[in-house]
Amino acid sequence: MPESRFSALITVEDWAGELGTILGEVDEAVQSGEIRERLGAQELLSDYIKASPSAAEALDKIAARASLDLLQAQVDDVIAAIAARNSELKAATTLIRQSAAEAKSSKKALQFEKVLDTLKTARAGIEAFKKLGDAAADEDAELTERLTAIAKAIADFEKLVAKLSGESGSRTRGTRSRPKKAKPKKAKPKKTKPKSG
Amino acid sequence: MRSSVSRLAVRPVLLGIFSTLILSACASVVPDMTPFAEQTARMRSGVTNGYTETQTLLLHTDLASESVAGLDRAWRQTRTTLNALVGYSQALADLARTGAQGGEAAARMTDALTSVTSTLDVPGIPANIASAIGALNDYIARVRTRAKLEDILTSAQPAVDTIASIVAQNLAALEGVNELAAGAVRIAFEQESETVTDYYEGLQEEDRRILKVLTIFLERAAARDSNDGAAAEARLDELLGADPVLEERVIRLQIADPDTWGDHLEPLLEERQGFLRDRSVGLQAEARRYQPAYDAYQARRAEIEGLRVNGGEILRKSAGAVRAWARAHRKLLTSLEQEWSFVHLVEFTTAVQEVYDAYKGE
Repeated sequence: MPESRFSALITVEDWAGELGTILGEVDEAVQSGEIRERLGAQELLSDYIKASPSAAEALDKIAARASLDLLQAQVDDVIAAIAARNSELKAATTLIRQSAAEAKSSKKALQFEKVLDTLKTARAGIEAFKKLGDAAADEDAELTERLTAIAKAIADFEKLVAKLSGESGSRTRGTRSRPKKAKPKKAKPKKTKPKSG
Repeated sequence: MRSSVSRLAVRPVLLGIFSTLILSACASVVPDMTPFAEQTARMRSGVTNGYTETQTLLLHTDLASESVAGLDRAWRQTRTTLNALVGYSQALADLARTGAQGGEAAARMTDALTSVTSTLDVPGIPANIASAIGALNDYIARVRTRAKLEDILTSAQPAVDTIASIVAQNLAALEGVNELAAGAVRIAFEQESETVTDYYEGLQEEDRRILKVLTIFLERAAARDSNDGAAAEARLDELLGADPVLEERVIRLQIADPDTWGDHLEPLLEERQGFLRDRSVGLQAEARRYQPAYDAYQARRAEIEGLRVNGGEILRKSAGAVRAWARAHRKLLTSLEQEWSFVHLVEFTTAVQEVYDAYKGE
């Protein structure tokens, strides 16, 4: 077995003295904030516990506690470091969300959703109009109404296509905020003048 | 009477333009971003697993529960960010997919218009016009999608770089926690099992020593059987060196009876050999009794080591994946800024592949 730093230790007092030295190194590792030093100190504690005699059980417990102190220091440092970066991360995440919203909005425009919705409405309106025409006695008047409806439907379609082209073709940047909803105004309580006299 | 739509049917010039546009559509390739979105989701799983592995180890230590909860609170923003990245990549993939299917959107639109006109008992959009609208829209949709993707990616790239850098730093920080937590768990477990392990290992060590002595006994007997006196003498010296108890008894014999001690040597050796044989059998029986407890100790120790190695590995892989993801995003942007080509397509695909490769073998 190769010589280790524990080979010369015999009495429990020797082992206690050695643990004191190791705890000093553990403290230095905690203060350094360096993970390598902390891992090195933990390995030393582990070796100490393995090598120490069973008579030094109480010392082993202290060594194990010191190992936990190293972990505690690391966790505290990591929490602080992550928390310090969180506001920057949050701001970047907001930008990503805005970009995702813009992609979704562009997708909708591409799908001609608005056109399709409007056409559905137009169809319902024209159907109602046609029924009215069917009920009318004068056939010429009905035909006129039908033609008017056709013309209107197509005119609407053209307008919508033009509108859509304008919407999905726009490439303006920096205008990603959602339109604010108008807040309902609170009705002000009427002031009533106290009637005199 | 002809509607404004049906009048388009007699304009061959427009159809010619549509054909030209269709031919030039090869310059308006919309990249397939589904693999990018898939790898973003995979990256999120990897990072989440890495955090969970570390958290599992921490929960096995005696660390104060408020520290574990504190780490979880700090990590929450990273988790939120990863969810946002998945949503973002899916939105990009959806947009790209929709853009690549502009003709289908136009077909739905012309179908809807036909349904309007059919309600009024008039012909719908003529088939050739519908097809032309489809082709035109297909081209327009691709061009607009590319432009839109470029816009979105340009705006998002600084945020993507920031996120990749911060998440990679957070993962590296967790790696240290993972290592120290595994060490603390191992130390606590070794202490807890010390009584059993020390006893079992002590039995094994003593038996190994006895078996070595018994082997020398057999070698000496063989030398004597073959009348090799020198070899038998050498084995006896070796025997006395390997068994201090026997050596002491031989010395005592020599002191007690300096003239005839040699006559008593063989019976002493036989007695010692028998004792050691019985001792070895007893030690092995006792070791077998403790074998299950020792095996359980070894298995648990291997489990802790596995948690340490796996946790560290997945955290490192995830940090690599996050950086590869940001590179893929930049490659895609570069491709969109320039005219899309096969080379750019390959570069983007390779960059996405790097995200996949980061978790190879998982």
